[in-house]
Amino acid sequence: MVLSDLLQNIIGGVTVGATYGLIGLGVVFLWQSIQRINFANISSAMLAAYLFYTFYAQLHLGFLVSFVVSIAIIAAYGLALRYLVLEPINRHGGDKLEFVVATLMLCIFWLSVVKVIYGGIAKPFPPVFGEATSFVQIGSISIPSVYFWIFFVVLVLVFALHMLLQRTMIGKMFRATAQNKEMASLVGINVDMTTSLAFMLATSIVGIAGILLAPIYFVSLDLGGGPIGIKGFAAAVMGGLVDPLGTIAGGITIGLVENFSTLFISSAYKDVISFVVLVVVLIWKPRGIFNWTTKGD
Amino acid sequence: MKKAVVMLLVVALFAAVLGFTPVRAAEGVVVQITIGSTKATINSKAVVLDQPPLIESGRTLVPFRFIGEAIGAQIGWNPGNRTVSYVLGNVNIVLTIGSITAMVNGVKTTLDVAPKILPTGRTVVPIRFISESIGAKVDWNATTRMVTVTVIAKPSWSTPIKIVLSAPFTGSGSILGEYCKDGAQLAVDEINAAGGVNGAKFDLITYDDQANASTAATVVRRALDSDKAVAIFGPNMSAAVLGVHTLAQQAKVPMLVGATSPSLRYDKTQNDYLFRLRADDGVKVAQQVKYIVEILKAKKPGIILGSDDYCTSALAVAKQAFDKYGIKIVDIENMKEGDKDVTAQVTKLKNAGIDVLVGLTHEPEAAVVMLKVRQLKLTVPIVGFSAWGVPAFTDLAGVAAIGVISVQGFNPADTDPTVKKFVDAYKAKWGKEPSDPAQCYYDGVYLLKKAIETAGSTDPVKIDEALKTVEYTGVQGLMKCDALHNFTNICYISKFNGKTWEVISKIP
Amino acid sequence: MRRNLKRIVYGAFFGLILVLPLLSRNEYVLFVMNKALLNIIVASGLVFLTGFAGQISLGQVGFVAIGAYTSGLVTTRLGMPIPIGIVAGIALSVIVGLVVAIPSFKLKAFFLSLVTIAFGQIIYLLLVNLTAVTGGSQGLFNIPPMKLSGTPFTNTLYYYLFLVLVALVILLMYRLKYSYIGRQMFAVNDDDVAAEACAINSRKTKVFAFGLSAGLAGLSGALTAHMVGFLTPDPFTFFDSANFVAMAVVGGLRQLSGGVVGGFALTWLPELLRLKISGFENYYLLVNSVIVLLVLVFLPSGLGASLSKGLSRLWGEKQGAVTLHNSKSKEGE
Repeated sequence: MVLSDLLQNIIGGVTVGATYGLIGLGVVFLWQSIQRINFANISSAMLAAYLFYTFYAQLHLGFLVSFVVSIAIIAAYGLALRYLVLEPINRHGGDKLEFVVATLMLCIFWLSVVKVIYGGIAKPFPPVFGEATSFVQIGSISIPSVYFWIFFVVLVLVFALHMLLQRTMIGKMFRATAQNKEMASLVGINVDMTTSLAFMLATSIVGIAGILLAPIYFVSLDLGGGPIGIKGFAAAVMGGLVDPLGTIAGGITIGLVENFSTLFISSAYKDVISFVVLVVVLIWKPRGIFNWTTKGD
Repeated sequence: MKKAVVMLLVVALFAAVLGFTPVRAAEGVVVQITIGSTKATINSKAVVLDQPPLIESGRTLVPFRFIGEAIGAQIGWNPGNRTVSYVLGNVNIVLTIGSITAMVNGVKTTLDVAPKILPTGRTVVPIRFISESIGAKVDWNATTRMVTVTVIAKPSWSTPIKIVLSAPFTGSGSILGEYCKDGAQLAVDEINAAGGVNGAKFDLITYDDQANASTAATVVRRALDSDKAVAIFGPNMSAAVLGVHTLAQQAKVPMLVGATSPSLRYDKTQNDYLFRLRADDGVKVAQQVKYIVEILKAKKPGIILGSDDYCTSALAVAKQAFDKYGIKIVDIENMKEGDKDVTAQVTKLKNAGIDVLVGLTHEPEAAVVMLKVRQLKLTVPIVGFSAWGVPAFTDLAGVAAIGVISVQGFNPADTDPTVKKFVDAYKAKWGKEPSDPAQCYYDGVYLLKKAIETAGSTDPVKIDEALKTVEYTGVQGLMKCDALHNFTNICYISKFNGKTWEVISKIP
Repeated sequence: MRRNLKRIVYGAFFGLILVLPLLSRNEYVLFVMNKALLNIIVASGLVFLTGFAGQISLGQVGFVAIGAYTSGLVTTRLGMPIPIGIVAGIALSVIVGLVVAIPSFKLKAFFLSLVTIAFGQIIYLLLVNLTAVTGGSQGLFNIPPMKLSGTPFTNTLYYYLFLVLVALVILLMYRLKYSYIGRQMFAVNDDDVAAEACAINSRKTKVFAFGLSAGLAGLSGALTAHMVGFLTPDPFTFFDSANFVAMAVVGGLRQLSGGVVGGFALTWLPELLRLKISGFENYYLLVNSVIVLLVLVFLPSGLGASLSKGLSRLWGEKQGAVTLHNSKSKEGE
């Protein structure tokens, strides 16, 4: 095991882990807003990837247009999620558990829809972030150009979110509502609007994560459920379900743990180790490892 | 309003469940009579006879009109020459009261007992003779003294020959269902357009077995008990076949599979009703290893291995094959289906100093591996197993797949005219190129047609007999059932040039 | 008059259930019914765990797998008789269930669900990777069927056996619901802290709930192993756990009949949707999930609840005593 091998794995783990963090953000925003867990969180990633593929590779609409339109649709989907799933369930007397199961079914539903429309075989992501085989060589380490893009976008996104939440009016309203809904509405904040905003943000961020992951995961059903969804939850948990930066840190941690357990232990049990880590964190520090907020949940 | 909907749903569910009770296909008939009893049943519906059946000279006699109507024949009674006639399909039976000579389609036949008029005035005829003459099955239960006559509908254009395809359309793993169905459907449509099988058309019913032995168990039972298929195609996944092939054996219905595990060979399963439509993995891996050792002259192979049964049984064969050449496998790295990062595995393989990489994984994993191989500059030759030789892999890997060598069950670039004809027809109909295993199901349907024609019947038992001896030349060359119940051992070794697979060798 | 109607309807319903194998000699129908009955057992356990005791489990197939593989291995590798295999399967499931209960002491709802998901996944990965023991993805074969004086059980015989078991399970749940333990459970469900204040040991309750539901799941698994004759890891994925939870919720978490209604409906729904329309083999799972979604959104208290309300209306009974509701979420739960 040479240093370059180690570095290679670190780079891979960090990059992919950052996207897990983005997926975790989708969980966090929704939790902060409505105290519910959306088990169809990861579906936004898959849908965004497939939408982008359709616009760019099939309809040849150009990168920017494809990207913007895909994310716009996913944001609208976020709104639909609120008004077509959450509200009806609340109206008919359902509570947290019903929402959980409904979103679980929604996740399966989206997998079926995609399978029907696009078929079950994975499709290659178009080379918008550079050819899949183009690498940047630094010494004996080669980094796929895709990784640079992923890292860049994650940085920009996290920075933008930070600005949004800390520096803008909307962000302040959002945070206020998350802390205490009643107080917020008393102070005149439009809670209804912030709730819708939360939904749209959650799905859009995960959608962007999906497009970023598609070069690595391919435009496939793997993006829409199963292990990757769990990793998103794990990242969110590590951030205590409240701290966005902590969530990203949590995701990166998971990415690294995965890579190193494969390197030093065995690839067969890679997922088991991730789950064990998750359980240990949950039991030992349910407040989250990377929770740097001053207030608790 | 909502409650009404719910009630309706539940009632509908119940009704549908009960609706699943066709005891027979609408065209077939089961008649049961008991000696000395006026109670009989036709398709489980109770019927009252005006004359109880009796036994004479060891033969059962029943009222002539009853049996005629029960089997659906046209009845004729000629008081002048005291003859009774039955016409059903192309069978014409004429009996004479009091005579042991009968005519079947104009041919004289001798009966064991003559039809007669009883003192009660009723006319009775021998049930076994009539039934068997029209091709029905007759069973006698000595304990209950019951005779059961089973008339199987003769297939015609309006009573199609039912065949069921069980293939994976959902679920994880190789979702090759589309190819299986498109191949089979193409054959079915071609055959039906050309007039069918002896004038009867094929009816192909497709079910999703979710690439899952558990679901396959349900689907196969449905094919056997509800649909009463005369033959079952698939499942395509070996693990699923292992779970369900005994069902076909018990039901005595042939099962033709594209599944490739060596554990499905006849010596392992002892199943007379199980057949394989394409080369099994034992053959393919052996060819793969042969190429590596004899042509590439490699001495230190490394293997990247998937985790499901397709991969692990291939590994077992590969180990044996390398052993025979006295070559030791230097390193085996594992990955799971769905894994997207194999940096660690490829790194380890590189560090182990291998001189050839053997790929024993499914298609998406193969793409993941090749992208990493190119990134980490592992420059040894790559020889993949059959999942590496299909578009599902090359499309994903793109330029990373150039130069990869693979063993294949099918190569659409093969210039053989039969292959080309199939590829063109498939492209014309489905808008895409065929991929393994479409060809084996295409061949399979034609093979079934030939077996039915040879057997002269759609009785599954007879079809099975025919399948064991029939020969058919299809897309996969000459197909004939061998001792292991494999119909072919064809495979290719090809190299990917970025657009197509160039055939290096075609075996046999 | 209305009373008689009630008797007639119930009579007809139970009569139908009893004579089903005689009406329908279709082995496929009986096979699916048997699977439905076994699913009902698992779903009932989940109704107990989630509906009564308020604990969520998204890894329930882990217990089914433990029961199935234990019984399978005990009867094939160790050559023991089937009853011992089944008992071993149930026992091991219960023990593991008790262990899984431990995180529930500290964790609530979502976090607990993650632990149970992790549990389910770990079991699945063990099934796939411990090839020497479990046969890996190739599976475990030649599991002996249950036998009656030498001949293997027919689908009909399994049907009646499972029917009896389901009846026993319902009876058990009924007794539990109205027993001291049952009321403890509802209390814990509503408010942990208040329940503790009343000296109700919420830990014991949770352990009991997990143990019981795990045992039922294990029983179902063991029976499946012998009925089908082989085992592969395929039916023990996360999505299968989700499906069981859906059965419990669709059936009705607050109803005794929840497991029955949900288990029956969600086992038969995909089968009924296998329409012989060419191309539909792709759509049936989609339609399946849409229907389940619609039921969840519009009838969150479940089909069972709607059914009993509807039937009550039908024979003009007054609505029964108010059933306890899940308290609305508190701040920061």
